[in-house]
Amino acid sequence: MIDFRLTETDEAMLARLRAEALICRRYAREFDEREAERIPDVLPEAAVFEAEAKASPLPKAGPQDTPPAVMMMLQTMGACWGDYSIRLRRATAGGLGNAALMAAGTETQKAKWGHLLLSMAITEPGCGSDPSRVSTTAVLDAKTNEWVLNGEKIFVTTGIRADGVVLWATIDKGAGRAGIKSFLVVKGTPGFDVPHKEKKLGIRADDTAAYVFRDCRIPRENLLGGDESIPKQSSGGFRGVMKTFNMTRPLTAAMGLGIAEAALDATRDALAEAGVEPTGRRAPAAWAGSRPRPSDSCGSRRSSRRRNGPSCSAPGWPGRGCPTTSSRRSARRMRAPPSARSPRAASRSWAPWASPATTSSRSGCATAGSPTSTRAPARSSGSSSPAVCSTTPATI
Amino acid sequence: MISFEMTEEQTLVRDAMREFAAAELRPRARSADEDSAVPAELLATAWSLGLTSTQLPAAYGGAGEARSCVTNAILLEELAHGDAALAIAALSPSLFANAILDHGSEAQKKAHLPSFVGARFVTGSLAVCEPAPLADGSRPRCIAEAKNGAYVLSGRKTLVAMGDRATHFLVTAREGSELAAYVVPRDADGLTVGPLEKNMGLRALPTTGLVLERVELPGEAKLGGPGGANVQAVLDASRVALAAVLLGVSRAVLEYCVPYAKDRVAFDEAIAKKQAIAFRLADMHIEQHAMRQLVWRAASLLEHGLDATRAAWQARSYAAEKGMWIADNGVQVLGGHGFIREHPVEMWFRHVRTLGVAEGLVAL
Repeated sequence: MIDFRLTETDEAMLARLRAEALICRRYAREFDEREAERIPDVLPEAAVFEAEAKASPLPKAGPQDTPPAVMMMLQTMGACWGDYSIRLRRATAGGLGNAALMAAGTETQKAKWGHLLLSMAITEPGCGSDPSRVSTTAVLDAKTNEWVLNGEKIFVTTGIRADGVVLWATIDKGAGRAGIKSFLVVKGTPGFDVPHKEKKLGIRADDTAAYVFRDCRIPRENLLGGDESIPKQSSGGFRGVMKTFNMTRPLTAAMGLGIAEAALDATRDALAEAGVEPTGRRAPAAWAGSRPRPSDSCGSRRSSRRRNGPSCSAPGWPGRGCPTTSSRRSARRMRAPPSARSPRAASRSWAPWASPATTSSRSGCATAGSPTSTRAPARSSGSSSPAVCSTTPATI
Repeated sequence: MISFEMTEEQTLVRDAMREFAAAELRPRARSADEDSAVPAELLATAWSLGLTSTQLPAAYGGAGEARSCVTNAILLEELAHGDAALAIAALSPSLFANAILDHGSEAQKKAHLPSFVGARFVTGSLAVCEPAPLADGSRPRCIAEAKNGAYVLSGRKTLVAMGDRATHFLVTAREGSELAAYVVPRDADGLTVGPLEKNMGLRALPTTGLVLERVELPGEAKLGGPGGANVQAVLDASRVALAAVLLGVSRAVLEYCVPYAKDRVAFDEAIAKKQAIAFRLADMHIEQHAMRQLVWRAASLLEHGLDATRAAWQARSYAAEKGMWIADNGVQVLGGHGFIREHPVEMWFRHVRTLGVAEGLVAL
């Protein structure tokens, strides 16, 4: 059945994520500007937050709740509403390289390296969109049973903090895709250097590295999957490793959406502070101050009343009695910025458009609040974080 | 006569500015952006070039050369092609000086213009942008109360170019229902110059906010004297200038992307041969030509003293929208490399995005 509704359990989980995101967000600007440094693995607020979360555990997800694969998208979106790279407590498991190891490695290899944080190095200065053009070479030294690696990799995600890397290299350039294999290289192997962290346009705090391999020797067994043959017909293991992207690409889209949602919410907040109330209509008179009629969203006034009974309560949104009420209400809760309902106008003199986030939200707000119930208060518990601050809440 | 031919003089100006920008602006652009600072020696060099002083009348110590808005638009495009932030910084004195020259009272011209023909770099600023949503340069929220021939100014400004070193600020404000502007000296009581703003783009250009809390000004402070001035025309000139800057940056993006696309190989051929890229580049090319036509048309109206308000807004609005589109596509054509600060495209993208929202940074 095609369905876009969230259950109470779904919402409880997302509300907790929103509360975490609000904490991470406080550090966003600072770490963006201190881009040469590593983001801490654990934020100061983590201990208290986790203790409170333990004290009021979330309801367990059941068959009627949104399945994990979809929830992962929503969770990613929710986490990026705070900041793309900062987490309350960094997950120790699962770099891109770990997914590749699980997809292509032998059982021995998984056991040996599965506990390490592994990055994945594919892109080179000369190839990105077309991974078959990989020109990093792996040449077998049969005498010493070692692969000798030479090449340069760029844009390696989590490349600085990783313990090792799954490296794409070709054992036969002439064979095209079929000659590309992946190799595991542990950090510290001679000939494997991390010359710098990339300086980027955005997501500056994020750990994106450049790697250089100069006559880097690794054991023959470090070829993932162990198959040294070059298939004539197929592209061999290439396809299998490309499949790891099937999960990560939608996640990347979810990240973008999370950031976009944050931008929209911040804009709405800023407008509200200036006394401008967007009505959701596209007409030029949208800011002339006129209240929209419910019929604007629900179709003609007459049919809306007949279908929905009592008139809609909130501007632009279907109210009680609307057949899609529960989904719209939960959608509204998902989208409405929690801070829109917090009393801010009085405490703020003017919106510092160009100045960094005030630090007052970091002091004074000890807890993010945990959802005490799974209904509407779950959403506002995210908003209570800035609301309890008596001093000026964060701009971002 | 409708004509699109540049005069010989304009061609000379264009070539000279192109050379200057390539030699002095472009090489400094990246480090100035990373440091968020405009190099002092650049300002000195630009000053000695006489960009501002040559166009001031001899009566005030300038070279007295005829000022052509169209020629200045060409000049601005070339300098912005080198670097937008450094170009605006170098030309900031003209923004203030030209407003006084075109619209000031005789007393104001005598008082302020001589500063801009001296030996050292001196600048004023135009304070137009205000830190509030739905801001409109022509409808400032800043208020001027007239009291016994004097004025009291209150309000806030932001994105004031060179605000950290301007000797005077030309502040736009609403006097009753009239759009007016006032010359506010840096040391005026009640005026607070804010700290340097951290902007997305044009980072090398110092900008500050201003807070005016009942700043008392004498009658002579009002631009044009008691009768006021056509401040809208000041805004018009600034809008056309911004459009010219956007044009220069857009051209820089295009000129960087085309060779890259011809060189970059993926999926068996240069990406310039892929239709998705080729069509994009072609459209970028068309749009920067269209931007130029709108800029020249508005500049031409200004030059002939005609009402250029609508044309100026159209030029600026189109240049902002298409400029952002071009810069965004520029980053996209370069793929991952467009995102890294080793190539200039990401910096131009940030410049254009900032120029898209700013007002009053520069003028013809």
